[in-house]
Amino acid sequence: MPETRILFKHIDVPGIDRIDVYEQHGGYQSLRKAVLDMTPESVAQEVMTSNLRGRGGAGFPTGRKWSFLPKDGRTRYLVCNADESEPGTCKDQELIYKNPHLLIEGVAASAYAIGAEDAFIYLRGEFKVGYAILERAIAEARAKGYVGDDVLGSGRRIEITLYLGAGAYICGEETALLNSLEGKRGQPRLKPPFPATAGLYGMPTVVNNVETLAAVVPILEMGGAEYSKLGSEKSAGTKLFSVSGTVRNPGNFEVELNKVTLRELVYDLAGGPLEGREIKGIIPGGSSVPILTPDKFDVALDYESLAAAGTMLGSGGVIVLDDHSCIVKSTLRLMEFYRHESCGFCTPCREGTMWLDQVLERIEAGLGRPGDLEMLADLCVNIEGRTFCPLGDAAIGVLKSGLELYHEEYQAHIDQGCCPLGEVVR
Amino acid sequence: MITLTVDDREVQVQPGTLIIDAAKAVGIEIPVFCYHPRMDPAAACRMCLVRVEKMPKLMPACATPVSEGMVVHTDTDEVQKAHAGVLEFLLANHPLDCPICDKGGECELQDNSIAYGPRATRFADSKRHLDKARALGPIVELDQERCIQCTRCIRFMDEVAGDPVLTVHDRGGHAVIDTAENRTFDSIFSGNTIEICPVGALTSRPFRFKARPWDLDEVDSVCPHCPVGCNIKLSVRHGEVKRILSRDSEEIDWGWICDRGRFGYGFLKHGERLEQPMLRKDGKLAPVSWDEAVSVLRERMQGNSGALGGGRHSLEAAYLLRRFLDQVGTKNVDHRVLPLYSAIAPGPVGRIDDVNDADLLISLDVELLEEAPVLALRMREFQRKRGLRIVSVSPRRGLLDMPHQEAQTPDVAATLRAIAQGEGDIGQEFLAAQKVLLLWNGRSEDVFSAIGAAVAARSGETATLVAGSLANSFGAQAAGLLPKDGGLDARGMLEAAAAGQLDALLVIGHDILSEFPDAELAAQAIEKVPFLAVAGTVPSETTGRADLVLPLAAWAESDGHFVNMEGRAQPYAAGSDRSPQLVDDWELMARLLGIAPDYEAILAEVQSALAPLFAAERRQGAEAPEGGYRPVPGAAIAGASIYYKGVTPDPFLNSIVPQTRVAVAPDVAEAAGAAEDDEVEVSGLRAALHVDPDLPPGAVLVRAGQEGANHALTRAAEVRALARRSE
Ligand SMILES: Cc1cc2nc3c(=O)[nH]c(=O)nc-3n(C[C@H](O)[C@H](O)[C@H](O)COP(=O)(O)O)c2cc1C
Ligand code: SF4
Ligand code: SF4
Ligand code: SF4
Ligand code: FES
Repeated sequence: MPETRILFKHIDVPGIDRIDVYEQHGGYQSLRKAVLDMTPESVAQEVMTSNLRGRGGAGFPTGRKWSFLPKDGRTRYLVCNADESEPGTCKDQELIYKNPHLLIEGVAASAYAIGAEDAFIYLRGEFKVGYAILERAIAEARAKGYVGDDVLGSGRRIEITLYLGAGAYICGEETALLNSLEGKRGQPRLKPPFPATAGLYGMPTVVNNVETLAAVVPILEMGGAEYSKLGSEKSAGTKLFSVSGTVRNPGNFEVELNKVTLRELVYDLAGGPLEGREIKGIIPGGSSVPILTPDKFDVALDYESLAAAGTMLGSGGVIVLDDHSCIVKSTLRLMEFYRHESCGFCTPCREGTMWLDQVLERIEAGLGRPGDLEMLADLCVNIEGRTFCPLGDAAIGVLKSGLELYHEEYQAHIDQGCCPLGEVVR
Repeated sequence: MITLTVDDREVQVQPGTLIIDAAKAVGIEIPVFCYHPRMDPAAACRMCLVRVEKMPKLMPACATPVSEGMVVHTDTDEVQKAHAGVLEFLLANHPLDCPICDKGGECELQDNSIAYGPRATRFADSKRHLDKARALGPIVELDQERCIQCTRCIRFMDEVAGDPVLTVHDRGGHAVIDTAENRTFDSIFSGNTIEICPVGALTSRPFRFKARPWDLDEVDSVCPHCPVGCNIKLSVRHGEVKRILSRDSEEIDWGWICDRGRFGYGFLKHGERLEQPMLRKDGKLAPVSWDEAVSVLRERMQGNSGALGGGRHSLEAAYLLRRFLDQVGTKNVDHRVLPLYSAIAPGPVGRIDDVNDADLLISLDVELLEEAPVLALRMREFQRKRGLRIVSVSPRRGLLDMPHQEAQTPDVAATLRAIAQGEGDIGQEFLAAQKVLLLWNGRSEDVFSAIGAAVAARSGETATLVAGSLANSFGAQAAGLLPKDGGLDARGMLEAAAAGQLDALLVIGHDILSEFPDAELAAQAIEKVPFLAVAGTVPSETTGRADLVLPLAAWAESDGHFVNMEGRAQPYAAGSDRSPQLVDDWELMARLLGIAPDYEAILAEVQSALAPLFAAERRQGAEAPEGGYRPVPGAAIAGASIYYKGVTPDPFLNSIVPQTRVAVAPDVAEAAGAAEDDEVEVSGLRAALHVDPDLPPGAVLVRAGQEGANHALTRAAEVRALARRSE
């Protein structure tokens, strides 16, 4: 089962991060076409026609999101969400590090389409090298007139400003990101108003993921209608999946949505389990979504099929757990992450992640008590759907399904006072 | 109107109403922590979750606006579980030190736990430990373990007070409230955060561990410290005021009070209250009976006498004093002891809630946070909510702490007249606006008459408010404590006394030696006047020089009315016990008059004689008073200070009063060779220097009421450098 490389088409071309090489491979033609031959509305229309859905996790149709901007003459902003902090997800990173001009071209064309003069790329605090790469790429693009006061002589000004976060997962949530970008505490805002009406500095703002904005380039190149033929009706195009965990060939893979199964992705493209191991579960959409057990591995990789299987496509971070991976330790490790990353604004997430983490830690240390598992499950109920932002739901996604799917393994920790896999993995 | 259903009950409310308020309208209570009716919703605590049909998740009632046909359930099993779940989370790490907590008994966490909480906790791991007594500033101490992160305190400082000094540090379970950027929490409004903190996390130094809320009686009162007239409650135990809380008034304060009002009660039980009437005999003050004191005073006042004061005492006392003076035939009376020309401006008198719908507010030389602090909060609110336009006309800049246009001018009256003639953008706006509110510091006659001209120039609604006076200055003036028909004003009386032409002087509620804006004149007058009587609550330099001292009950120990800047007479009730020899201010006046000290009868008489002060209608403005304060050219400007408005020997308050400073324009500092914080002397006043670029060139500013300041108000202000800060 081959990849369908559209965003990754030139990812391995040596020097593609430099503008000359990028141009030699057809780079900046989409932007040129957009600003010189098309109106902003027609660019936005191509994206609408393409059926592209947001690649940041929620899968919201991009064309529709853009159409929500009020036509009231206020300054508009485009913000590219490059905070990529979801454990198991590293697709945006590869795009930025290896092919920065694709993102810049996508950002510039999208800014043109939505009528924004200023676009911001908010980078995860740890992407310091990515920052430098993008900085150089933007300078190159500016020198060639792709960004600046008068893009390609069109009279349109498009500026791209980079911003490096301080290292907080919550700043990937779009309103927390906007607060952080404004120099405020990175904590989500009450919605409504949504960013489309009151976003950055209170102005109409579109926030899109790196992969989403990069996809605008091939959409303009092949036309929205052509792009929409990739994948299925509801899940158009290609998607980057980051496969991590105990597989032979971990990494990022670009596949056509709906045309590849989870099993094909993990067993064929990512090389399958390590020698002598068996995969016992896969978290398919980043660290926030329910686990799938082997009986579900033949699910097609697209938004609706994964939803039907009781999980989510999310950010495309595919985390593989094999028979050597302790479920308690795995869920504990994730809970440590969420406990650490909870912004603390709302009660269930702030207190709940702390509590869940303490109990899991105890069970993992062999100090579990009867009733702990029921309590964990019930605490998940008291968090799910009750928090201010989706981080609360994200925090319990894996644990909640884990408790159901691997109940005996948890119970064995409590009963035996140690990890039942201890023998196997030492 | 929108119709919705809450727990099977139909409710009709305005569009935009939040579910929580719609439910309240039909008596359905939804538990909250972070929600506060006077602030924007945060939806942080998740206590108020309810089921709204057709919505995928439970919704926060405090942040969800109603919509037509909405069906809300607040009491289903699912909702009950959510409520209990949030409480279980909040209690998991809560220290549960209720037995020693200041909030115990009036704590929203306790109350909600009883009503909605789980019966037991399942939390069996170790609790979070944090700082139990973190001093955020001079007043507020934070117990970080008790904090439930509702962010009310942060939002109050940010949204309401416009001074975002509080913030969250760290995140998740480590999140704690603290000051931003190592600032100290020194806002004049800091105490409000203690009151709105739903738990006992924020405590005040004066009240910390002093009493249990259930042991406190509450008595309705009115703040005695400035003309805003915030509504307050005295919390009393064993006859002693233990703390002061707000009492939400829609028209005045919205439940906010300033720290002057909240903590300005320490003088009540100060060891050195005036305790009994004293008469000077053989050069020494000696105790006398009230009968003797009253008869001596009545007799001495028969001659060529005068009376000073009234702004700090009850309307009833002011009214009876006027009657007494009429009886003895003296025209010499003036409530304007501090720098004030009139406590009432010409034109229709404004109401504080005129701020809500005024289009333009022109502030005439008012230093808002020092003269009428809580009014500033309402101005900010309506500026934030609907862009109220505010212009400050003054020789000084930076008098208002909210966005406003500065119209800096050496001559406020002339500029106001120009505005009234439609000059410039402000003038055009002034004439075109539907409703204009003029806010004034009450200081000078020429501005008074310019206000009259400005009111006359407009066809639309115009109203005026005076900020720069005392709690009952309006009432004293309305009751007639002003010179008329050739009577002497405050200065006139002191000059006459100094010239040996006044036989007796009665001073009520003032220390004229330190407060009258001419210290030398006050001293000469006291020296020369054959008989000086001083009525008041606390000893001062002036009482020490008096021939007769008349100890009065303080406002908290007495029933009465103060008339605030709107001309609204507001009742306060006695809450605190008083020492047996003290009398009510109005009782003293009644005895002088020779009428029965029957409060009900006196009040009835005041209510009929001064009916507009008790009526709902807008009051009429004042005629130009005779006499009054006149700034001395070349002398220091009399700035205001909320803390000096009524110097009180209050150890706690004195400990939080900002350091005494003299402010000068940069050119003055340069000429004197002095820099910020250096010690300087201005006409006998020694203080640290503050170089204020917002002052006009050549200006020196002292705070009226500040000890020694009244020396600098009459002589050409010369700044002399004394010592460098570094030395
Ligand atoms: C806790 C949290 C973390 C998130 N992190 C990211 C992120 O790192 N990158 C991202 O693109 N979107 C992230 N999102 C989703 C964004 O809020 C937003 O939906 C997305 O950036 C929109 O872009 P898209 O429409 O192109 O997907 C996160 C959401 C939540 C609730
Ligand atoms: S769920 Fe609440 S505490 Fe958690 S990150 Fe979101 S807002 Fe912050
Ligand atoms: S200190 Fe009090 S008001 Fe402030 S966040 Fe904590 S609980 Fe709320
Ligand atoms: S604003 Fe004035 S009336 Fe209100 S609390 Fe402060 S001093 Fe008292
Ligand atoms: S009261 Fe509604 S979330 Fe706090």
